[in-house]
Amino acid sequence: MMAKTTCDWTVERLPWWVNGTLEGAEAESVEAHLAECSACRDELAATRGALALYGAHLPIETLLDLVEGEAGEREARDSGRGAGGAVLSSEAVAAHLGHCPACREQLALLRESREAVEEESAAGEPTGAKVTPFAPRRAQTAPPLRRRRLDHRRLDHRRLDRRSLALAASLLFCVVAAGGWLSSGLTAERRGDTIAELRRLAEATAARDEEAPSGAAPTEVAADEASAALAAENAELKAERDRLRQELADGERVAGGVGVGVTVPWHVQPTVMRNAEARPDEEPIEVPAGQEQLSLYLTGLGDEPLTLVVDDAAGGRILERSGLTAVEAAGIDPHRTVTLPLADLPDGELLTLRLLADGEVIATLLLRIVP
Amino acid sequence: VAVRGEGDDAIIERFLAGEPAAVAEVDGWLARAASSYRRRLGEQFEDALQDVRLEITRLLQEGKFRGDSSLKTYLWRVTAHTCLDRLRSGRRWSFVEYDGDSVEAADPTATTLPPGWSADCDLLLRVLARMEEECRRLWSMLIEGHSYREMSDETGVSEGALRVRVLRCRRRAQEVREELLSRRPLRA
Repeated sequence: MMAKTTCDWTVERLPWWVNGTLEGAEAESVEAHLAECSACRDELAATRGALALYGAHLPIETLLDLVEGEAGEREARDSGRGAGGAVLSSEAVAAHLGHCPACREQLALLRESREAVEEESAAGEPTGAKVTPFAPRRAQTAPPLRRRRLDHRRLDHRRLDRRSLALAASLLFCVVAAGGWLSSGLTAERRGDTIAELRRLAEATAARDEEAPSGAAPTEVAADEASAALAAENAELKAERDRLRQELADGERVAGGVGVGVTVPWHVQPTVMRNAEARPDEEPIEVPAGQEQLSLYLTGLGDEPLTLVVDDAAGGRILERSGLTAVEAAGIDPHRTVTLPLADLPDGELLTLRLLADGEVIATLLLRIVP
Repeated sequence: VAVRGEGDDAIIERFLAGEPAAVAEVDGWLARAASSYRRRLGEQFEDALQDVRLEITRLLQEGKFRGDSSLKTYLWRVTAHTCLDRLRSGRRWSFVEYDGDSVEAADPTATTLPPGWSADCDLLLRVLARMEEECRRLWSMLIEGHSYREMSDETGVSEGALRVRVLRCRRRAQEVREELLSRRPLRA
């Protein structure tokens, strides 16, 4: 090998020596040659420069400015700030977004994040969620962030106002209407009734919000009375809302209903959500070959043993794993995770993945590994 | 134009004083702004959120919020920046850098530009835009940490031809960069 270690031989391998994948004798030969050849050390510097060039992405500040500009919060500008405040030309920004899927995806993430913040603004003041001050994790012995997070998300009935009630009812309605997260055991009729009830609640509170100004009495006494009446009605609506939410939760729990999300590394494919029942016309989830595994994010499950089976298009069994337990995972929403190794699955074929609990199919996904 | 929101100063004051309602309000904004990164960050999400909280506390304590935007927008920027930073640093492989007699881990995209290579991001982006799609693809695979054997399998190009193409792409990038530099007006 050493006899072959000419400058050309070395220079051709430098990119892989830099990215750490050159091994054994090849790597040793490159290193030995670099130690004695200044011309090749210059080539190494140029290789590092090329890595910096081909690895260049839009600065995060530029992406932030773009999204802020769209939100109208920053003066429209045709360029963004680069590292150190340097100005990037709009031409360079646009050209890069045109060919860089990673930056496009990050821009989409920023827009999504921005919309989430704006939605809250549009909905009014925060709902007075249960308050627990946070403190740096490293300085604490073990205040479980997860429990605190859940507490934070729990609605505090004492402080829930009408607007937030309407919002909560609307959100619940959206969750129901979005599908995929509710129990297959909750009958369509019952679910329909529940949706109708939630919709009625949302409309009732919204309508009352509109009426409130004209009904306001000019005197303090009248205002107090109106306020007391609204509070009483509010309490009734909250009780009804809680009953309906409990009914939905019970239905999901009893039937072992499950919501499934699938994810592969962010830069390859966005998260895909699927219903518990795959439709015949549903597009399969496409996973680029070379991924080690995909994760199934599951909601509505406990620690019951699961079986994962994968069949090919002809119905032949390719893989079966029983006795799996979904692992509780970190995140804002309580969920569990099961990982599916992809190495044993064939490329290119339409695969059907089923997740079973107690012999009953609780989720079906169509999957294709794209070579 | 300063668009500091009405009451932002009061919220900051109450937040820094540890008033539970203010802390919960700010924490709610942060959680909402960060929620879209949860799946992408996976197990790192909680750590990222904690980093955001610590950073926000530090920035507000140091009076870094100048009111160029509303407090909510400012918090969104810090949150988004921190989360994206985490995403971008999630490389699969560590890189090596030749440094005299030793070989050590290094980040090729950070501060290791060779002499004569400008760190001017605009220039890098202009050069990159001029490169052929195949070059961008091959070097992206390199940056992702693929060996030349893996790249050969994936592209269907023989290992020898692949190494030569990668080298040509690097030399072509140098040429384009020098060409763009020669057209640039001198900066004061």
